[in-house]
Amino acid sequence: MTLMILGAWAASFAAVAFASQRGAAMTRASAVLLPWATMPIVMAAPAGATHLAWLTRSDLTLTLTLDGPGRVMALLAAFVTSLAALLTPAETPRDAGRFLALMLGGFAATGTFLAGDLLTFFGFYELMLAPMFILVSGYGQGPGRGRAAARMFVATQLGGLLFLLGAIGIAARAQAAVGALTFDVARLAGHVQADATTTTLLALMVAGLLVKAPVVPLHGWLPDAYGASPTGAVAQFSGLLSKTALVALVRLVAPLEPSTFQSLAPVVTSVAAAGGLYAGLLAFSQTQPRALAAWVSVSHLAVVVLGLFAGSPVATSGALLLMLAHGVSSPGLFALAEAIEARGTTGLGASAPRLAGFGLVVLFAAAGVPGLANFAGEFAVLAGTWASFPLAVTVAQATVVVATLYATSLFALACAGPARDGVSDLDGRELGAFALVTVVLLTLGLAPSLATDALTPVAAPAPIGDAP
Amino acid sequence: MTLLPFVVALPLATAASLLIGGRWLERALTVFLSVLSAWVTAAIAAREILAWGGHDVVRAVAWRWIDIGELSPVIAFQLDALSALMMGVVVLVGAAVLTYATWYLRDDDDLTRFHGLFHLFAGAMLTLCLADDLGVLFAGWEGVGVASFLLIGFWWQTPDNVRAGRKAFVVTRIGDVAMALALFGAWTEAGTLRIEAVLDAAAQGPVDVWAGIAVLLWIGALGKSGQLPFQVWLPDAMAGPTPVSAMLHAATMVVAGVYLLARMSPLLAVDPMLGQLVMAGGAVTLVFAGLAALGQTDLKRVLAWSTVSQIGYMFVGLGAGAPAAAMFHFTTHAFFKALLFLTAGLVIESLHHEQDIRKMGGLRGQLPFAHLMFLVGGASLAALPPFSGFFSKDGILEHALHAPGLGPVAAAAGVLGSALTAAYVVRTYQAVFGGAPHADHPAHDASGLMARVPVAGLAVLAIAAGALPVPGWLGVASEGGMLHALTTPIAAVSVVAALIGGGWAWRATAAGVGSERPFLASGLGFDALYDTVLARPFLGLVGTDRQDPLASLDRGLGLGIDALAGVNQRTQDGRVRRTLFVAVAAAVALIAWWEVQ
Repeated sequence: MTLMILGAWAASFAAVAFASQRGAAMTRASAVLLPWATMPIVMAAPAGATHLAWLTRSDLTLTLTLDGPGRVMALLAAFVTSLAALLTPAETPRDAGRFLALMLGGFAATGTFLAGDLLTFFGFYELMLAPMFILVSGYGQGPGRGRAAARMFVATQLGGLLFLLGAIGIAARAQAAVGALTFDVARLAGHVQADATTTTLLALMVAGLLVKAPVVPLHGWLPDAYGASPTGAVAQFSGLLSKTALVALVRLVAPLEPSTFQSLAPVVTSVAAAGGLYAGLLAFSQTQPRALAAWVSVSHLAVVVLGLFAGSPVATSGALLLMLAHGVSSPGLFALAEAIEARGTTGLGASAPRLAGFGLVVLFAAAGVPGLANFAGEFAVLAGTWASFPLAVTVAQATVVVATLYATSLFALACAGPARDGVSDLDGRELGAFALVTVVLLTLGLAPSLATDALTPVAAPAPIGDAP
Repeated sequence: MTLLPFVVALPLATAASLLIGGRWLERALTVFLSVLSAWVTAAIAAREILAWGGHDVVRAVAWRWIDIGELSPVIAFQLDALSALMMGVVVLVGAAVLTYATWYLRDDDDLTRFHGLFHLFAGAMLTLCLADDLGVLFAGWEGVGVASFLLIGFWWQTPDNVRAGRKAFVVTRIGDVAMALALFGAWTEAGTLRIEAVLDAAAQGPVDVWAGIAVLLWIGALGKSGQLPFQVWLPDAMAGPTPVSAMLHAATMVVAGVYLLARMSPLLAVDPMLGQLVMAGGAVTLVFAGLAALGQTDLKRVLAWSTVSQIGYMFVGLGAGAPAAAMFHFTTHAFFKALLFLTAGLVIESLHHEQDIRKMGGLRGQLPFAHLMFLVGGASLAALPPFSGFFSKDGILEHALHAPGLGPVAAAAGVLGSALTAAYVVRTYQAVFGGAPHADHPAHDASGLMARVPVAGLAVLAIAAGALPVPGWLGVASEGGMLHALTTPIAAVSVVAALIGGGWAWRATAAGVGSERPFLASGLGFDALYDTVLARPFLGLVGTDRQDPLASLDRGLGLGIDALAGVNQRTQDGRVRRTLFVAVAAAVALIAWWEVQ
């Protein structure tokens, strides 16, 4: 059943490829609609692990495991990919390639959410780089796009390499205890010694993954890459692909040796809280809406990282909820940035009231206003983290003030001022995208338990075992 | 069956339908539906209060909200004396102000948005009042902040209005950080955010921790209520339409801080220092804001500073351990300050949006209705008997006088505040209604029935609300009621102070208000101070379009790799003998190191 999810993605990819011969508009329509077809399968699939023989002479198998976080994130993958396709222009026949890349990204991200062993994860994780590179270098904006794509590629690749080194080290050292060389997290768990070497290896894996999120100061690749990406693609990068690494922290890294994972928390939470504030301040500094949105994305994911390392079930669930929220609000923010840049700043309140209205929803979500998606997750993360890391929580909560500053400053920049002639309000496609985003932001904001109920079965016991 | 959730749901549903579907509605229909919704909400609230009847606490669960393990604030509404009072005032003043607004904004193109946002505010405010859980209360708390931001910047064609909205939102959210931390602390200690359970836990828990939580809540309350040191946002918030100033920035939203501390008042009792702190803050603010009000030349800013000052009184009451007295003053203040704002709106509108009191004068004859209404509101604000403000202010002063520690000092500050209040009321009256009519600015009374009826209704309340047994409702035995207040010495002293202050102002402004006093007008220079100490350094640090400073680290890494690559490249020079030598030497060195290990 779990394999069927990936099968559905592969079939959708093939269908989009087929549609690409009928022109870009047709391709877009299929890329917008088909991801939704994976959702019923994701909902219906029973939880559990599937093992596929791979190198039969050794003990290596490919493992797919469907659990609470994986299921919810697989739904997000379909949603964000569809939304990204909706936001992507389809004018020339060449544009059809964009949608193939987006579908490949959705497929690979779903694979990382379902992976049950470290190698399978690594494979999908690396596969994701291909569509990212194609979208930025082939369809990106500005003269620096080639360089930006290369930098992103190298940085993420290096991160992946660190992860792989750590994974191999862990598997090799556990070989005797497990009785076989395996990368299956369920089999490794409980057989990894808690010692200094394991700490180093886990730290390598964590650092490698945090390049992708990214956490300041591992974020160097992001501003250029997000700046050069085409709109639809950046929605998928920030909304979906950034989470692949963070979900892996919960599902694949923490269970290996929970207490060792937890021993990294003081360093990681401090860095994340400070980095979140730093990114928020840089967001406030930007006057280009898209640059602002890029930093906002970094700033919010820092809170997710904080929650993942807090060592409390409430914070972990909150972090997963916040990832979902971010998966919708961040693409919304990039869509808003694009809509503003297409029309020029000032006076949009009077000349494009629908844009202003939807824009406010997206901005308030980013600023953590209750009733919209981000608040519930943020609140749970910070409440759950308070007992262990009050200082980090204080810094993260102070970032909310900065969030208010950048959200209202973008609003003031774009919407204040007298009406301008010749500015059109949102067109049908933009309206559809914003309506979709708004509905989900409100649903997650008013009834977050819809999502957390699905998370709880797994998120509650993980990732904390014994106290360190 | 309780209809309590509908008191919140109806305004929110109205807001949603107006903001989303308003563009397809006829203008007149929009206004009709909006006002109807406000009065129906008021009627439901009245029915709920009657059905409740003052006995037990009614609790209505509406919605399962966040539900993660132990963190499970349920959206539930509770009706007890405190929330009933708060709800009653909000729906009543809200309906009156909204009715008035249909007149005030009769020519505005964006009427639908105004009505939608007003209902959004009402829904959030009622959530705040009725919540029985701090998490839900916080949601309402943030919601009113959002609505305030949007309503202050309602006329967004003028960037300054949006800037004023931002200032209000950002400054209050600084206070909200403290409040959020208080919630995290309370949840960590008590394992729940249910207000009742939190107060129980506080009664038994470690004193220093709960005192810290109380201080954080107090800071949040100061921010929302525009008290020192957060007072700078409220005068600027007057950029919003006058009905907004009346409803949000006088009667209801800014008093949320008082409500919060009244709701959590047992928490203030865990440590005697807390009461002293709250009282001191209130006393300083009330005098400070009274002075600032004396220097204003903008009619609405006089009233804004007056609001800051009156809320200072309420904080004194809270600190003195008399939340009932504070809430009584909240009630009368809501009526008379809304009355004053709406009257100011009548004046401003009749002068074609002139707000500078130096350009007014002699309106007594031209605007007799507004004149009468101002007299009622002003007398109540100046706490003259038998107007309502007299009774409620007396309650606070008396409790302060008998409170331990700083109590008598706070009471003395309150008496000084009475003199200041009367002085700025008289000064404003002189400038607006006294003297000779201004030749350049002929007044044109355009107020219709929709304007006058709500104003007159508020005037009746401003006179009569002193007879309401609010402390009794809140569970404090009424100490002899109205007659009692008439015989307390502190009330007499306060009235005498008011007469002296008013008399001084009457003489001083007989020949006009004179030139501006820049120091007082600027709110005693705090805006400039914050600008120099906080805003400028912060903006300088953050800069505009700043490039990522840490990117240079990353770039440094890149350059390092380039340099290494360069070194490596130079070794590939085809000189076999040297290459071989280096390779062998390196191998020998490695093996030697290995052996030593």
